[in-house]
Amino acid sequence: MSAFATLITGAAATAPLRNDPLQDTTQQGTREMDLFLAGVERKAFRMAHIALRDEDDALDAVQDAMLQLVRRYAQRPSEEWRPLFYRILENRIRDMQRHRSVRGRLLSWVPWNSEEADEGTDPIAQAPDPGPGPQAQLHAEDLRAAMETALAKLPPRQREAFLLRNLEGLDVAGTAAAMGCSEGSAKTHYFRALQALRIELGEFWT
Amino acid sequence: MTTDNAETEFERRTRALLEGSVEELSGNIRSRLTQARHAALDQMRHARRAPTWQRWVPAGAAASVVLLALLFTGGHLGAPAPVAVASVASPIDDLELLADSDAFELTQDQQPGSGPASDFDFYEWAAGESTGASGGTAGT
Repeated sequence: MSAFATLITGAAATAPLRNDPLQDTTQQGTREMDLFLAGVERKAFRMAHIALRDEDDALDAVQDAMLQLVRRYAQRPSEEWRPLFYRILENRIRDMQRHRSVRGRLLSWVPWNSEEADEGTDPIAQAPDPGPGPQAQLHAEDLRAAMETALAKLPPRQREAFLLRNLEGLDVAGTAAAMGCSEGSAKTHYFRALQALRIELGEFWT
Repeated sequence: MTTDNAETEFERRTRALLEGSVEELSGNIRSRLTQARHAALDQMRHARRAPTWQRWVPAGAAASVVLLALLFTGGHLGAPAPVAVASVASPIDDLELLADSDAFELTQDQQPGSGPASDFDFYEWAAGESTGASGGTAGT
C-alpha cells in the first residue's frame, strides 16, 4: 500500500516536469496547423479538382501541399501559411498538368493506346458537356457543371486568381502573395477571368 | 455603376455556387482529406520530436567526406597547380571565353597558321579609329 502511495506520489511529482514549455509550444503549433489545414482542405480540394478534373489527382495534390507546408514552413508565422499553402498547391497542380500533357503526347505516338492518349491530351474535352447552353440550364447541378467547365477552360493564372479571391476569399494582397506576382497582375488576372466567365456563362448569370 | 453592380452580383452568385459545392463534398472525399491532414500532422510531430543533433547529421557526413578526401590525397588538393600559376587568365575568363563563340574565334585566329590579319588587329584598329574619330569630331 505504501509502495503504491509512493508510486502515485512519484508519478504526480514527475507529471509537471513532463509538461515542459517546449512540449506545450509544440502541441500548440500542431493544434494551430491542424485547425488551419482543416479550414482550407475542402476548398483546396475543390480548386484542385476544378483544375485537374480528377478526384484522385486532386487529393494527391492537396496531400502533397499539406506535407510540403508542414515540412518547409511550419515554423513560419501562421498568418503566412495560407498564401504559402495555395502557392504550393498551385505549383503541384501545374506540375501534374504538365506531366499529364507530356504523358498524353507520348501516348499519342502509341497506336494501340489511343484511348489513354485521348484521356491525357485534353482534360477539358473529358469534362461533362454543359448541354444546350448555360442560359437554358436552370438547375444548380447544371449551373455548377457549367461553371466548372468554364473555369477549367480559363488560363491557369486567371483560374487561380478567380478561385483564390472568390472561393478562398483572399484579398488582392493575399491573392498576389499566393500567386507569387504583383498586386497589379493579380487584379488583371482576376478581371480577365471575370470577363471570360461572364462571356462563357452568358447573360443568365448577370 | 450598373456594370459594377452586375459584376458584384455575378461574383456573389459564383461564390455561392462554389461554396455550395464545397459543402456538398462526399463523405469519402472528406474522410480522405482528414487522413491526408493527419498524415501531415504526424510528420510535423515527428519532425519536432527529433533531437537537435539529428539535424546536423547531413552536415557532419559532408564534413567527414571532405576530411577523408584531404587525408587520402595527403593535402595535395590544396597545392596550387603549375598551370594555374603560369596562366594569366582566371578560370572565370576561360569560362566566358568558351561561352562566347566570337571570343573563341578570336583565339583561333591567334594561333600560328592563321591569316595575316587577325581579328585582334582589327579590333585594335577599330578601337584606335573610334578614339581618333571622337578626337577628330571634337576638333572640328
